[in-house]
Amino acid sequence: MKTKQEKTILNNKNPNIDQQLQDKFSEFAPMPAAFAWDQLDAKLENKANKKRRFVLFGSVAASTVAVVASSIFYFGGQSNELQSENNKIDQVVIEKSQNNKIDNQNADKSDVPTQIGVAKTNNHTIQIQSSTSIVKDIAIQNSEIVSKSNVLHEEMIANTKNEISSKFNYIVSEDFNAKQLEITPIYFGNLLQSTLITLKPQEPAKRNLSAWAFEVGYDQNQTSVMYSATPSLEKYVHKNYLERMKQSEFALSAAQLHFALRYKLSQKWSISAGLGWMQNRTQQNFHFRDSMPATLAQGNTADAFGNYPIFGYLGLGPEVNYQGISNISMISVPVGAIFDYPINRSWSITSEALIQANYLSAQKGNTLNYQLLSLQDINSGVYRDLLWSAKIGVGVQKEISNRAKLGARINTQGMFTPLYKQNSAIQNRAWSVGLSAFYVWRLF
Amino acid sequence: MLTNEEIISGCIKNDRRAQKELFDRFGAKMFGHCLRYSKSNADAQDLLQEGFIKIFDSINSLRETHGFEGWMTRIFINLALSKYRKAKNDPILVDIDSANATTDTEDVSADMEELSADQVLELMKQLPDKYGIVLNMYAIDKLSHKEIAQFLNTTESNSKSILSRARKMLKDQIENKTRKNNFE
Repeated sequence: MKTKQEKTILNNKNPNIDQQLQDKFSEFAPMPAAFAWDQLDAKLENKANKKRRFVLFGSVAASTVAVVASSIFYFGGQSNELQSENNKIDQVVIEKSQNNKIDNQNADKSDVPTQIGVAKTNNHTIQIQSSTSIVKDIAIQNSEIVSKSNVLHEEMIANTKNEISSKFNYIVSEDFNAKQLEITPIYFGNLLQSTLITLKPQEPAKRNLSAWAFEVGYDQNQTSVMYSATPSLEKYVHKNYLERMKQSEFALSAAQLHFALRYKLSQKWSISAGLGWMQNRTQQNFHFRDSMPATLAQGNTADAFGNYPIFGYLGLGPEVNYQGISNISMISVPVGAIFDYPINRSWSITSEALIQANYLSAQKGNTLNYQLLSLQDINSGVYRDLLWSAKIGVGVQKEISNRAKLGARINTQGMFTPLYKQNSAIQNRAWSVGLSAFYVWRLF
Repeated sequence: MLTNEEIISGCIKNDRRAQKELFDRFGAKMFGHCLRYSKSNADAQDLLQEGFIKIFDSINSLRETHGFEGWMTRIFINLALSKYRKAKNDPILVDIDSANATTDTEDVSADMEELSADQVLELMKQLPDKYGIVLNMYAIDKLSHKEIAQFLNTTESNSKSILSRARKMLKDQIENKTRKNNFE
């Protein structure tokens, strides 16, 4: 057994392994690869771009919510206001005068709910008759709402207790919001002193409308392109290279006009099929700062472009900086389902899920030849003819009449199939988010 | 030349020049940490980038600038360990026999004078993953067994046992390497 002193002497001569390791690595600072900062710089730039994009999309979404909320507030408020205006009390006091003449006065218009402004009704005379002939003609002046043409049905209800007709029901046309006019006399003892004239809202008669509807809409989306390696060729694509491709994506715009036929399956569910036209404008900024791909995978099969898989990634290439702009027009056939959830009588939340078959009708501009790192014209040899995509959207709609609805949705769309031709080592798919405005009109 | 304080305040403002300065000043040192905790050079490069991104993201939470390098080192170690944990989800266990292994460092010493840090690192990488990590954490980064146990989701006694085995294994490897060098 060694004494403590012996151990110390031994340690000074030959320190323990922990101490030795610490000494050995205390100044260990190997230089990272020359391109390390460039890669980090590119990642930071990409991150900043994503943040900017997020802010942009967030602003679009927030604006949409704000617009929708304001619309709900404005129209909802206006609707309520109309309703309350319609529901204002119209207390026409009919006083019995000395010579049995009845005068009317426009009384308070705000206290009692569910009554409609008869004070604003037009200049038509409502005759109040009774068996005792106490009540005479009542002139209702300044009427704007109730007109004789609106009155579909007049009914007199006798008040047996007082042997006097005390209630008159006026059923008015559906277009007119005030549905029922009710006149209630007020008594003091046996004498009719005054009469309240009120209007009560009544549910409009339901019409049997067709289950078919026609929709026309416009989408304005912000898109971006996502790059990935084909799974079977993934091992040949250097991840740094792919990173650069991903960083190249930039904000684009896609405008889409669509028409669709809807069929209502139930109160909430509909199915839809239609036709759309979309133009997708793409700007791609390719910036390979330090290197270019080497394509030396002998014995491999060339991809759809005639290129061999990207085998490696040299760190010696020149800086490559290209900008490509391309336009793609597509004719699309969307098919899907729509779900509407009513919030109140005129507003509802609407959502849709669609599958779209997109036929590329025109292609113009440049994109990157991912192997040669040079721009190339896009044409049917570069991009596919048929692309499949999916679209989901959620928003609100307002029933502006019995037949028509107007609405707005936030939508997002993504491509199942990549733009580049089959079997290319790098694949690109577009993804977009944006706003739709639409108008639906019930047929027949 | 910018001071550390100026670099930090620049990084907080996302000033790319300050970020590059920080990278130039500490990149090599941090890359050393990355290499110690990674299996390959490529992994270390990835770790270096992820670590700096994390540093730039969280630099505004830095309260004091004097322990800045230690703070960065800890970020890199945490990141390396979280990657390790993700890769190997199981808690680290050692066999029962090794539970009583010695933790007395004085019994284990090796002559690594003739070996460069790169060579020692190569030998450490030949150790099983968990041995290398515990040795790195305890011997070089001076973390306690309690901290190691927390990081690696294991017990303190396990950490001690692993360390003991790792030292012995590394010592053997160093001796073999030295012998081989002398023979050549």
